[in-house]
Amino acid sequence: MYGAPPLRRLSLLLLLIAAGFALPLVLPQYFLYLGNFLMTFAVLALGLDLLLGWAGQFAFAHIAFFGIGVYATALLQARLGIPFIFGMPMAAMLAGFIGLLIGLPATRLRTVYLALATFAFAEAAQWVFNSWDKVTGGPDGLRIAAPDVFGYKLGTDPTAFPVVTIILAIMIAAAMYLTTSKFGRAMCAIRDSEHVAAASGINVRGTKAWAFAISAVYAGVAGGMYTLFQSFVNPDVFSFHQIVLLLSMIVVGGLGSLPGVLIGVGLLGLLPEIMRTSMRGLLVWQEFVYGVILILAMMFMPRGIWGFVRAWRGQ
Amino acid sequence: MSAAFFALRDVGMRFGGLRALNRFSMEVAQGSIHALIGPNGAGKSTVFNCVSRFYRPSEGDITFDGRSLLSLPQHRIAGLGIARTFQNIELCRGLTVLENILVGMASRTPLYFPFGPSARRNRVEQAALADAEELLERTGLARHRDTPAEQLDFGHQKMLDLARALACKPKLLLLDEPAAGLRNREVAALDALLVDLARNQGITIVLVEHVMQLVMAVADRITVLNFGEKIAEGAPAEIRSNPLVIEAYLGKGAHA
Amino acid sequence: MSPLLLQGIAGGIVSGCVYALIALSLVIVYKSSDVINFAGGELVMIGGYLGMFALLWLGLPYLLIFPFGALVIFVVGALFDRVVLTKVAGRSVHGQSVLVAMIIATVGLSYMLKGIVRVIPYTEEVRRLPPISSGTPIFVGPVVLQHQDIAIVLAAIAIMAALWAFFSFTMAGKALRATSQNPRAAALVGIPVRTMSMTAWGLAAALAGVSGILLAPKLLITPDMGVIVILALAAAIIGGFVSLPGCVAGGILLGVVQNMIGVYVSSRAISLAPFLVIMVVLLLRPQGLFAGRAVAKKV
Repeated sequence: MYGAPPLRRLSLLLLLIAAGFALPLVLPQYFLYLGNFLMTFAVLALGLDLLLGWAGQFAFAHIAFFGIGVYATALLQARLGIPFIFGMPMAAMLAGFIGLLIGLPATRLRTVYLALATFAFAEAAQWVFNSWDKVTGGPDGLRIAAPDVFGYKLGTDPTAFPVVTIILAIMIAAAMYLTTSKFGRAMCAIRDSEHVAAASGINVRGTKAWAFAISAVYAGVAGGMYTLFQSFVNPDVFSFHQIVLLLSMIVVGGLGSLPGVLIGVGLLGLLPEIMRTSMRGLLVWQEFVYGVILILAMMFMPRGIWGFVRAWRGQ
Repeated sequence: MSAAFFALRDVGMRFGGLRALNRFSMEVAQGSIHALIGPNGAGKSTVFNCVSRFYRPSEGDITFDGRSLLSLPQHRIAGLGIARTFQNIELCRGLTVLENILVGMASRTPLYFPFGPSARRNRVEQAALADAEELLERTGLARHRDTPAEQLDFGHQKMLDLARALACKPKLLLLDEPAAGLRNREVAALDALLVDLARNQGITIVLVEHVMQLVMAVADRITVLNFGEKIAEGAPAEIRSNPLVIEAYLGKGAHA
Repeated sequence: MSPLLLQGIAGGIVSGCVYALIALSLVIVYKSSDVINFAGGELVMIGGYLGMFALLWLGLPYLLIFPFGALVIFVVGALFDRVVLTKVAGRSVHGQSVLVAMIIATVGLSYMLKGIVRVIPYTEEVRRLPPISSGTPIFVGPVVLQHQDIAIVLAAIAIMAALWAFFSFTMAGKALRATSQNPRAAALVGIPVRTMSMTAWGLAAALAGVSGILLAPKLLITPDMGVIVILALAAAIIGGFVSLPGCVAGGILLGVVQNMIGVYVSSRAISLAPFLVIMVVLLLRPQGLFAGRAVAKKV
């Protein structure tokens, strides 16, 4: 939580990027699709965890910024011909800017009200995605043209995979640097005791607002990643259901810990797939099993899997 | 009247219908130890919370080193050199002892780009770490450097609260019941520490306290609050025999 | 006033009563354990199915399906609190990370309930619960009211009155209030805090279930019926999320506003209404409409 991330951990990211180039040569398309999907969700979840687990702000507008990222990146390419390499950062900055705008008044709200106000914002955003048909295609959705990066045409799972991996690695690295920095400590201080934070000279309101913005940028980047391997999007992707899913992932994995978030995304992201393949005849039980798993996880590992591992290691 | 180093002038504070402070004035000389005492609910912590800008007083002014504090936002107070501890030991429970100290130093740590490596970041972090380790040695917490704050025992948590306040190299230290819950031996150690901070390091100390043993031993001047109003002020010997003070604590007829 | 407007207001009051009941359920849970019950909507849905089951399979007379449903769901809620939530909370004070874990547990409950319902073959077809009585609609001036609508309003009034009496006059009700305000003090005075928590959950669940039985005849009963919880959340927020009378006012206000938007703006805008209301209310009055003036909090 100070200094800089250990080089050991950073080198793991290089391994990740290497895998990003190697795996498309050996894995079938379906696994690559899963991989792309999980990696996109990982960036989304990281962003939410920074706000929830590190800054302690229970805000659920996140999914709206994901939507802004997807639509903005796709539309910048389709309507204005701006290539992905510029379009995604622009979309992410737009999401971040709106995140800042939301964050500023939101800092005045206490816990429950913050959660509900930001949730309302997310629902309102979904309503906009559904109603602004001229721009977003409304409920019928939007076709996403295959983006190209430095001349390579992406849009299929194998071609998108390395790029998605690189973006994930960059976002993880940024999060590692952020959480070990002075700003990271400020977020934690605010989470644990706003009084101590303020009395120590931390600008609580400003830090909260920036945490919102950073979290929104992550969501916007995830939105851009989505356009790399999906050819279609519609507002159902940005529903309340998704934010609940995201929240479950980071809590089951371990709130406020980078490895925990990644574990949570991997586990709960793969779970439906595992159930689908192993429970062929019992597909209809899927939801029930998912619910039971969530309940059991919270009963026996309320601090998440990583929290459990850390406590066990500490012994 | 010469400008006092730290002064409250006619400060008034209201919570809804309750008047917590009424025309409260107090002056603290630089480098002195000034105690603020009074029965429970007298308004002592309210004074500190006004200085920290957690509350906005309805009347009056608070000045430090010549400038008024009331126009400043909460996070500028530490930068002026004012630090405080809390009555209920507020700590960053999820952080380690070292990290808590680093948080305390936030007002002295320059900003840098947080998302990546840089020379400036390395310099700032190394310097902060060095200062923090030195403070840990001085306060006897070095052994618990990497212990999460919530796992410390009560005495060490109190020490951490104080160390965190000292981390910003304050000129004025506001201590809210630093001796509460401490054993006699620990109170004596606190006594020595406070005297050292004031005499040898020139830190001005204001403490809110109930433990009279500490107050009488350490304070240069004492102000007594009751029901939000100042009822007495002076050197320890005067206060000890002041009938109004005795009556406030023990009720009428106690000093007969 | 035009008949359309009056009809809109009347309809708004009816739906508002349902929102209010569900909102009460959410707020009772929140006041008791600081948890937002994400399974609130699913409890409503289960209520609808139970009512249907009792009426069409068990052959109970219509009036009896209410206590039947209420009892079963009370047990579900109380059991969930006793078995799951107390384990999740452990012995520690409700710190933030524990609260999140408890909230995820309610998410798990919502999936479980939906899942159970989907598994039972009976629910494969979309069903409808018959209304309490289907006679000719009643005319109050230019306003048309179905029998079910009147039943909803009457039931809501009866329930709210009963709740008010319960919390104000009975020992159990006062004990519940004491526990929600200060669990430690309540424990010290001898109030069985765990039992209180169970009771609060059971009560809240029963409220949701009964709302489901009231609501079911107006909607199709499907496992996804639970989405109505969003409207109840809006109603609760308007009321400040801490006051029970606030829920009632919030619910009715929301129902009427929704219908007004439907009449004067567009039907499309209706779905946006609750979220706009939430954001506007919280922007202007962060503590909700009924929680009193925002006073400086004591540190």
